[in-house]
Amino acid sequence: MGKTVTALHGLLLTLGLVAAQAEKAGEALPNWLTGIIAVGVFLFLIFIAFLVNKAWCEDASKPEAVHNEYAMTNGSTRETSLDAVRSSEDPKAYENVVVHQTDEKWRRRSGRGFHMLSTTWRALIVSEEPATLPLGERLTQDILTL
Amino acid sequence: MENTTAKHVTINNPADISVIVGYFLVVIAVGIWSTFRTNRGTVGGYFLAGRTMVWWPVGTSLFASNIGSGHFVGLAGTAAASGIAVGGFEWNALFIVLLLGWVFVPVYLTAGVITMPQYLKKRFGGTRISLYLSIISLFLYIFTKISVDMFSGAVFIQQALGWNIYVAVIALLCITALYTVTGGLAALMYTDTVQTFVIIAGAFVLMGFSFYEVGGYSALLEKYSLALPSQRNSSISEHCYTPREDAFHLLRDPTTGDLPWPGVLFGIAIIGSWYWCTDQVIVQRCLAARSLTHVKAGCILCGYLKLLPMFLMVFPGMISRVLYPDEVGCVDSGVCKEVCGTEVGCSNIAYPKLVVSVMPTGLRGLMLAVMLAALMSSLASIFNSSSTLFTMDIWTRIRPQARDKELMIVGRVWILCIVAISICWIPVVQAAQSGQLFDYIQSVTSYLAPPIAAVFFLAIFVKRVNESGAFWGLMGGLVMGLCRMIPEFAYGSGSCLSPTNCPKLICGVHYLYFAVLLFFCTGILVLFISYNTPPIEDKHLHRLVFTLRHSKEERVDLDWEEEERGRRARREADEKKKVVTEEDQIERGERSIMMKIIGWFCGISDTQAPEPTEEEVTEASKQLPDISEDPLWKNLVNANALIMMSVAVYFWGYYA
Repeated sequence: MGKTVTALHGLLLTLGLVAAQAEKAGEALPNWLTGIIAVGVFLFLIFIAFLVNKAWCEDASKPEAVHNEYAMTNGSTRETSLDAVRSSEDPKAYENVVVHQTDEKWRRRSGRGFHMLSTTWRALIVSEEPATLPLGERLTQDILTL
Repeated sequence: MENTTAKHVTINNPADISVIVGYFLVVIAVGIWSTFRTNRGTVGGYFLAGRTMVWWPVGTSLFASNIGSGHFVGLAGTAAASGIAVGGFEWNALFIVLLLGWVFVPVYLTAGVITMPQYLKKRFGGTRISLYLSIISLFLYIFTKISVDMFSGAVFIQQALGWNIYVAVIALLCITALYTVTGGLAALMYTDTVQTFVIIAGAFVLMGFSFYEVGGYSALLEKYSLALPSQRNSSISEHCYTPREDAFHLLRDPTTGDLPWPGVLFGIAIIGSWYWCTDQVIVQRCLAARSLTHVKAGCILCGYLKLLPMFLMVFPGMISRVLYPDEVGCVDSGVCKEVCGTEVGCSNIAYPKLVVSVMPTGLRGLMLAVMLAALMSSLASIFNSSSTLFTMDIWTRIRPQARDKELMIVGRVWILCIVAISICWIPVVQAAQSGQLFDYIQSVTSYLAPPIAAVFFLAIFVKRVNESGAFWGLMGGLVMGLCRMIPEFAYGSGSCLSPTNCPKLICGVHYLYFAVLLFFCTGILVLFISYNTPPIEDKHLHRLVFTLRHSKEERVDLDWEEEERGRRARREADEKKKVVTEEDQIERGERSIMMKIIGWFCGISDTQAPEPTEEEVTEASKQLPDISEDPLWKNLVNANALIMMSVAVYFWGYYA
């Protein structure tokens, strides 16, 4: 993050220099420079919109997640949410709720290899719901179910 | 239009002719090949290509349907007259096409509709809105798109070949109608890919030759402002024939410019939203795609292709004025009449003149093929979509018991009707003094389209909008638009030499500003009436508005009763037919060979799936159309869209 900021600063300085020189020479900004400035402004606006989106969406989903946990525990402190997803086959194993929700959809559509790739991708990039199992164990479970 | 034959170079040598013949063979071959690939006998197969298209036919079809001969003649002509700002019409579309793929098509797909009036019917209920939309869309197609494209094609053919207009146009229409009638949307989309290649290749070649003739890009920049016609008398004010000073700027002065920049940015965006996001021709191609990701990728491809018209048509138009200032830039009415048959101005012959004069033998045939490609692809798309509109929205209202076979036949017959109407419209367009063709199109669109765009935007984003609001908003918008359109056409738009005497109050506002004004007024009217009448409940709106597009709950269709009536009528018709055919079969025996050939040609099969019973219908409606996307591809496509937007912004900044 620090390196990108420094690089951005350097780029802005060079642009500023070129603009100042062009103004000194008495010409309008060269066309390509106007273009680049426009792109810069545009990307900056997109970035702001992305931040606003992230902040707004996270605010909306956080209270919901908290609400769910309380509903599952039924007010008892001993019972954890994992009880609700206890596997039917083995009392010591737990169903992987998160994975199975995406399971059906992607298995039907994209085939198994792709399914694994997509759930991994989701886990890496989109960290919306907290994983019920660590990533490594989830992957092994995927391979076992294939 | 008369032409001096001395300067005419006709395409009558073997090289040119072989290129043209080759082009037609390829197009017909692709059309026939595609008829074997999809089932054209069903409504879904004929009108929506069975929803199997991947991204590249979608993208190229969007481009080819949009670029018609009107673009070649109109864009180049207006560029010759006033510079590159007219390219703003094309480059604005880069953003609008993304709006189509990301916002509008997900809602259309998940709503499960085939036509836009059908969407409005489901969204609002009632029948008057969809009827109004069908009628005004058909009207706009015939009087703006079809007539312009045909006329431009005729101008080109006249300049290039010297044929009689009617012969040329009838031949073109017949060939187009042929492969539209037989193949349906699948044939169109595959042939559109061929047309796109031909258009881009040919136009690039011409651009290369033109730049070579004028001496390069910087030479164009210098010479354009010096392109004055030699024959001018002193009574004509200088600014009528001098090239504009801001000719190389996209964004021009808001008060004195001929295309003011707020109008270019916002007015064209509104008209563009109507054209790309709410119009049957374009949306139908997106609905034919295999999945939402393919739609988005196709939209991005179309966006990149839309970067090209500025370089392929606008710059050559300006080069044409530099090379032939006395013909293309003629200002004296006598000279103009001699050159191109109209006294107002001859900027419309900019592109054909280049083709005839600059291109070597052999390649002229290629350029004619390009014009034919543009003309036929646009016309074919418009024919197909107007036939869809007529069949699915108007005919099913007249005869709800019509089955697939009848609908197919009606669709094809309607195409033939439209062809006849278009041929009859040619003299009217001719008489409208071709000098202002592009302006005429844009004005008519600016006065009639913004209310439709406003209603669609509000329908998708604001749940509170209901049927009365939408209908009265549309009516109010129509009245406002007509208040401007009728006086302007009555007084005539005039020219630089003889300006119109239309009162400033009505005609003083630039048509792009008027479009923005009309859009907002309609929007306010719709919201005002909607908030004063009862709302539509959520249960009717699942998967019909943007916020509810992912909802999986059951929807109570507002047009359920009407659909059910139609289904009942079809079931009764089925019952009656069963009784009749049982008797008939004993009597008639085999169908004649002729009927079989016609049936195969038109893709109509005898077997008709029985109309589903009520239980089956409710079961089918539970299988919801899928607009989910694979996250990997979704992110890839989003990233690509961002890159395309950056490229577009760079070019806008470069030429601003």
